[in-house]
Amino acid sequence: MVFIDIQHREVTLKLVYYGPALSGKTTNLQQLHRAMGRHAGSRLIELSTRDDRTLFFDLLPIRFQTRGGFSIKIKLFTVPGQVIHAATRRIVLQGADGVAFIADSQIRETRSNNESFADLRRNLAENGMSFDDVAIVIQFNKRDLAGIRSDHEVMQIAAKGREPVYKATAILGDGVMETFLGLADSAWVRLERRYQLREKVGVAREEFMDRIGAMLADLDREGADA
Amino acid sequence: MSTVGSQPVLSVSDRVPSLESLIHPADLERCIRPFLCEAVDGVALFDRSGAVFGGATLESSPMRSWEQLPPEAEAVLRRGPDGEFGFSSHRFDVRSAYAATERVGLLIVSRRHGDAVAPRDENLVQGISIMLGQLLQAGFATWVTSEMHLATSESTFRALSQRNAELERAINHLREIDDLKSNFLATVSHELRTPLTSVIGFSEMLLEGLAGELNEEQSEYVRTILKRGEELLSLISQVLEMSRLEVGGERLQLVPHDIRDTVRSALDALKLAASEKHITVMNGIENPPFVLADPQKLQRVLVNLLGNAIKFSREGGQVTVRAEIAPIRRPFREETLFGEEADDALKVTIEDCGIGIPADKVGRIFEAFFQVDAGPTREHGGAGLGLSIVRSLVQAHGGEVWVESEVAVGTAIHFTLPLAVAPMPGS
Repeated sequence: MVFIDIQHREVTLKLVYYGPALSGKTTNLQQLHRAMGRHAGSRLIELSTRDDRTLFFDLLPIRFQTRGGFSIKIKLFTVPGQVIHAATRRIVLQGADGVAFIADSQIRETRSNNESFADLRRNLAENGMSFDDVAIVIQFNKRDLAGIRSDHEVMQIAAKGREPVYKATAILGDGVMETFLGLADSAWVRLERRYQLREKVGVAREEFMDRIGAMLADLDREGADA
Repeated sequence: MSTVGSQPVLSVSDRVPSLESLIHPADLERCIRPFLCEAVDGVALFDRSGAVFGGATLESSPMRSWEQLPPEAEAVLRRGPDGEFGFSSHRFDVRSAYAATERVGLLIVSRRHGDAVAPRDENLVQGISIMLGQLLQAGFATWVTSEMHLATSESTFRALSQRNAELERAINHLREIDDLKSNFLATVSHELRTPLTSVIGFSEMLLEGLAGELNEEQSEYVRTILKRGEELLSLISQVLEMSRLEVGGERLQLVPHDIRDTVRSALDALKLAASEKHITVMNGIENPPFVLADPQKLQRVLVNLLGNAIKFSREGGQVTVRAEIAPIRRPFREETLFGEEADDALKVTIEDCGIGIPADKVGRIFEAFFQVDAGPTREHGGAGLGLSIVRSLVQAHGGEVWVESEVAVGTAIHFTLPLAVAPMPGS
């Protein structure tokens, strides 16, 4: 649930990276963190100490100011993908404004993707929400591996659902920004429609996206150099 | 609370809110700017460390360059409480800024030093001071609320951390107990089997007449001892196998294997039981691809499943065994957005037309020692370990076992095994 603090001129959004175990949710956040590292207030809090797996959740807070002096805070969370951490997933999902579903492109992970997507629907329902209440984007990660769904298959899957679909190789940073920008945009559009943010806080969608784009520009340059 | 008089005025106490938490500089400027005029050309709010926090000034105001303040101005600032000082053409009024009872900063109003100080200007300074007090008071209320929220969250967090630690301890304890149980079972089963072999061996010797001819009645008794002894041995073997599987002590010898061989030998072993109940067993497996399995363990799986199917079928009924290529996991029908799963396994199905399993018990039949009919008048014997062993063995192969059943119609048990040669992607 977006948190609008008029007195302190602050809007806080919560975006959650969801998906099956080992699909690359934390990698997505690490790449984003690398891109935003030098911007104040973004510290990646990782609680994934045991076996490199996320046990509780990771949190990446991002903060920036709009021209009108409003500060926008985006809290990025990941959930643990393993089936047994259902309770943690449900709690982390509470009040989310947007969800990026990170799917594993490998064909043998089809089942995990389906199960995790059904799990997302169930957990949203348990939090009193549905797919209509949150912005959802889907990322097909690990495009660099063998035995993956072909681009054509991904397109077919994208055509089946309503959610925007992105392709990514998070470990190389490919597609991470596109997914995040898509997610931020969908979430903002949804909130704008619901809470009239443009009227209330004077921040338009274009400015919101511009500011985020500016923060990420650094990484694009780095990527071009590499 | 620190007393203002004796200590440095700009002391810091952690119970006093910082200006940042009370008011936003942009809001401060917005509220102060309307007061600026010919007479009052600058207003600034200093925090307790002496740094400028915010305010509003006109272009011409000397407040634009605080670093050029004369020493006497700094002295007034350091002395703190209300007063005034002046230099060049300006006078500076100094007022304390309060939030509730805490002094949170200093307000300095810069006035152009004309021929005389008009009383109206004095009122203006007073007005600015009061307005700022109101602003800070409103911020203070919010600050107190959020501090209370923080304190509550912190104490909740502490309580939860404590509970987590307790849970962790409890889980470790349970794990130890579980290991202990498995070891205990293994030891006890072994100790039970040793004397049993004597019971079985000696009753066989008696039946063969090694200790002299037995009469009809004696033979009958010894046969009963032998039969019961063998039943007990098989039960103990099951318990032993179960505990070995639980502690992970069982090693599989995986080889590419034609499942028809094991099905055939399992059916041979059960021929007698089937014919006693006049049950027809249909083997519908044709040309299956090789699976990666341990033939001995696979045989245990098939004997257990086929044995159950025969045991729970009606007299003169029919049991079918068939196989087909399928995904290795049981069907998941809730969500299909991400496509169909690849067929990378052989699914073996054993179907009977027996008594079936009530819906509320279907989920539990693979639990150890679980019996669908656990009443004192139950018709079918057994310890309830067969299916539990089946599940452990199938899972050890990387497959899955599940059941579909309808009461009075029959039961189908499916299990999957990985193919020996992985199918080509997309085929």
